[in-house]
Amino acid sequence: MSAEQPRHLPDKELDKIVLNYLTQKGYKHTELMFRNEIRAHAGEDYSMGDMNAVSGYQFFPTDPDSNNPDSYISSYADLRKLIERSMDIYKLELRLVMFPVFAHIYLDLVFKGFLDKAMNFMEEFKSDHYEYYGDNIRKLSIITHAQHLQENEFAITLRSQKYNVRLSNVSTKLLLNFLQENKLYIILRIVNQYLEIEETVNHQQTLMMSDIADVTGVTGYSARGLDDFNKQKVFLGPLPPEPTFMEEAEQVLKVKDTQLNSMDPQSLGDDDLSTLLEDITKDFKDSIEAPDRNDVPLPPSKGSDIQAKIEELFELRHRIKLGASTLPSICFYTFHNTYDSLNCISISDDATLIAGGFSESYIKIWSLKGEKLKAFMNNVRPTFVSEVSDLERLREQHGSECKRLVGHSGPVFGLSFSPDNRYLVTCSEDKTARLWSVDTFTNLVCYKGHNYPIWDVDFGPYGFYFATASYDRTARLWSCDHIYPLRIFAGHLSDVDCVKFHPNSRYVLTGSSDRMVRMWDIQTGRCVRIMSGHAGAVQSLAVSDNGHIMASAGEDKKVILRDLRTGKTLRKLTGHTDIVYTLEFSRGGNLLVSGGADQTVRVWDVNACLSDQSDYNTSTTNMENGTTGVGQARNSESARVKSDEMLATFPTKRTPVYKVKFTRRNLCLAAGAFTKLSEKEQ
Amino acid sequence: MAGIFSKETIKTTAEAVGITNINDDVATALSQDLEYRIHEILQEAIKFMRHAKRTKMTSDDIDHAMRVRNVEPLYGFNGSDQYKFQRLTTNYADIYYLEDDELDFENIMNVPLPKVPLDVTFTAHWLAIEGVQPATPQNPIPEGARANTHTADVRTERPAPSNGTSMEVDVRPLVKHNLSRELQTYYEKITKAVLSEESRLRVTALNSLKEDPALHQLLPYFVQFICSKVAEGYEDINVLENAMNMTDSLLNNQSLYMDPYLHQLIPAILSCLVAKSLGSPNDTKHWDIRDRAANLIQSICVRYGVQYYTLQPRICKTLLRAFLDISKPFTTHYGAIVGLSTLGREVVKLLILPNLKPYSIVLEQELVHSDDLVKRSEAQRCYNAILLALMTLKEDAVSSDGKQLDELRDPLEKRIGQLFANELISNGHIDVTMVILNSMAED
Repeated sequence: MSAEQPRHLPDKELDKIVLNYLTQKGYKHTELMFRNEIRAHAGEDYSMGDMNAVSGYQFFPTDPDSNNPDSYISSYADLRKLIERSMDIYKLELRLVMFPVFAHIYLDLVFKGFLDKAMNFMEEFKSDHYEYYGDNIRKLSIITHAQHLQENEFAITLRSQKYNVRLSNVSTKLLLNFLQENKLYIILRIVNQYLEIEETVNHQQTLMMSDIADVTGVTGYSARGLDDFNKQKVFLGPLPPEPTFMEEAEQVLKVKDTQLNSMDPQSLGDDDLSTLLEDITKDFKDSIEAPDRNDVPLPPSKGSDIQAKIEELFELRHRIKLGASTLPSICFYTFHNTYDSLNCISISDDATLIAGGFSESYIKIWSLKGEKLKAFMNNVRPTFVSEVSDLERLREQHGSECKRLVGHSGPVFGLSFSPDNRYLVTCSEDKTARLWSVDTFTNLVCYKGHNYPIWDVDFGPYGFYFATASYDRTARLWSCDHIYPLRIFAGHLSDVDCVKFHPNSRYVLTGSSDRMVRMWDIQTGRCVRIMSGHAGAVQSLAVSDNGHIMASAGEDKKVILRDLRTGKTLRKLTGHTDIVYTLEFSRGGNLLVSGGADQTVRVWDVNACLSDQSDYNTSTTNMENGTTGVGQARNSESARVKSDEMLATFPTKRTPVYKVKFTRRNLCLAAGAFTKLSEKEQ
Repeated sequence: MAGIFSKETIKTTAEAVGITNINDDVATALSQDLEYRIHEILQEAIKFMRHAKRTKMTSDDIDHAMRVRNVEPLYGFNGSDQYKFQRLTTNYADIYYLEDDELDFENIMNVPLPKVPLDVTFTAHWLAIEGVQPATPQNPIPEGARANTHTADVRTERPAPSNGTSMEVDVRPLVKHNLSRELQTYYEKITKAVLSEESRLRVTALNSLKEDPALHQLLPYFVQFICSKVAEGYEDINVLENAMNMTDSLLNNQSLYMDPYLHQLIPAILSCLVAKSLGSPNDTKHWDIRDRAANLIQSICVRYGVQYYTLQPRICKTLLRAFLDISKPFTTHYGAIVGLSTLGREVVKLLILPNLKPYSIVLEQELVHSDDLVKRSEAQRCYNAILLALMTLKEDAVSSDGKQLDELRDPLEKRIGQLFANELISNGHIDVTMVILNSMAED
């Protein structure tokens, strides 16, 4: 610290200088904040006139510190000390400021060419942030030249976007006062330039961890803006059926109901046995939040759709009600001899087919019923087909155990069956998505549009639409009958890693390497929710049947449950010890099942997460305290505290879990590829 | 600063492409940039690794990462090869290089093609049943059991795949299997009791095996025990009898999942059925053991034959081979005949009848001409067994169309030989005769 005049200035003078500086630089928010604080303190009002008195004062006296690399490092060390010494209730919040300050100091040092100092700085302090920002630290540490700053994706984001931090007003005051008192101008500058501090007036003076996590980080929106953003109206209810479809279905069901009753007169006495007709109408009763049918244009319904709906209703009656006391049965499909080439697995909705996408660019489909797969022969002539039996005769005579679909020219990264189980859509490194018929096992359409590898694909819940997620940072919406995308969802700051349709088909959810989850409206193509909170890429998404609860998980081994209506985090579920690959809600939405690279399937209680909010607050806070202490040697085990909501863990034998899925009757199916130990490990 | 790549590395690399006078500063700047670029490619490659759901990076990931960055990928590297870096010491510095052998085209052409890798298959098992993980071989040993038991090394077998066709060739891992102390004590008690002289103890033990629902953990050990007792017990008829009793109990235990162990049990049972000699030569009890074994085989076929459709044909094949081998003693023949006849009338019709004529000559020779009394009685047993097998055909009876038995003698003799034809006709078994003749007509 070089000796400067400010040291001898009285408080009041200093305030003026700071205020002056703020107006000069145009930091209006901070200025306003500062004014308010001063007023609160001294009961005086500083008008602009007062300021003029000291306007000649040079605020940053050519900033001698800024060219001295050591002063950067010592400033950071001071800040660190302050935060460490502050009271526990503020510590948590203040720590949030540390990472952006750390990152920007590092970038500054690199930019000014003090590479050695930068490296030392990184070495000395990176352990502070490893727990939460591990991959960001890695991204930072590879930047070793001023030029990289202009190229590196992460550096550009940090420099060009403001970093959101939400602090309580006391913490903010504490921080700013400290920075001023100790003349940590470097940090003050960074805070001003790159941080967006959102002050919240909170009577308890501390904030809930979930609130903080929701907005921290670079989102492209200011923290307050994000809250407003997530207030946009969304329609999360089920999609109302077509009126004509409903009429027809009702007629058919009435007949069915009378048939059922006449067949089984005893059941008439049973009061709790509702008719099929009631079942179907019950589905759409709660339609206050339902989207307009016209918002999701779908082709007119066919006779087979009614048949499918009726079947679904029958299945519904056989559904096992799952909950914390009734855990599911899980059938596990282990794939052998894959030699690490199996990338993804998908199971059809009726649980009759299982498909796998391979690194060698092909897709394989097996039957789960133990039957051979029989394709139609290619001499089907519509004029000769009048009945179902005619069609059956046109299938192959012998069939085969599994069918191989060849067409892609790069590793297949995603697969999704259509809801009627007649089509399969796949995506690949070769930048295309392809639609396959499961009747003929041939390629029907090749969709080109993405300019980079496609990571994931999901068929819409009503068919017809599907969505893709790509390396090119966009997700796109397609309909089966158009070879170009209908919507391009752009906004993520890094790769879009996964995509999932909302159950009413009106929205698409995407998870990205920028640690955000976004929800997009397919009608307008606009983003309607931005949700942060993950500490790594988001690899998997799931939405509950009722459309209100969303779960996301990924690289950071955590599963986060969110309320889609508000975009707020409900609960962070910890327990997995490696990347989570797959998530799925049980039908009815009481349980969440997850599977991942740690070779386990875990079952979580969703209802417990919805009920007691207060409990969660304390438990997480404790956990954060225990694990992210500044400068403490961290025990990586303690970070993996098991959440109470975890109901069960089912380990497999060296089989990472690629996919979990619930059948309509709530049987859980899981699948993964058995990994052999390499010779060395044996 | 010290990066991964030294200035010297840059300089030598530059020399390799013909740039000799490279400036120090340039080299430093280049090495920094090189490091950055490599990190960048790695970051991209990690994405490809993650989306392929692997935790190990392959050279393909690097290739894809380079392609996505618009860089020409490095050709000629693939995961299976081992690469060795060689060091070369020059005046200035050590140079490391990748060894790139010259290969003789002839040699490459002559290398036999590698084995075709096994095709991808899948197997299904229950990971959990209503929230409880069953203790099947496909599931790992639960943590709790690992904590307070001591371990025993056992080779646990993977169960036969349920469809019976896809062969599980990949692994038979040596798995540590844990047994609680209670189970171990139980195992010792039971095995001792089963072999004891005291019949009350034996019966209790066998009943326990039959009723107890919680024996699954011990099942591999019991199966092992039975197999070893049968293998070493040819001399002692009682041991064999007890082993068969045990097998019977285990098979009848409703709560045990026997499927994975059938392939171990069946050979043991078959041994008891068709072995050359069981017990001491003068003891005739071994006939009973054979009958017992035949019944076990029958019950296994009935119970598991539908699920594992190759089971019965395989057993039939083994027995038929024993039956047709004239060099085998009559004891073996007897076992084979009894075994086949318990497997049903179709088996008798298809496998015994066509071979009866040649076999009757062998028997006749022994029955009529041999002076060895023991051998003669053995032959007599075989003869009786065949008759019994033929009698089972009665149930297929068809009407005789008013034909007289004597009219049928010629075709019957042609079919099954004089010996048995005489027997059938003299006892007036017209129904059996008709069945035999009809089955011939079907052929």
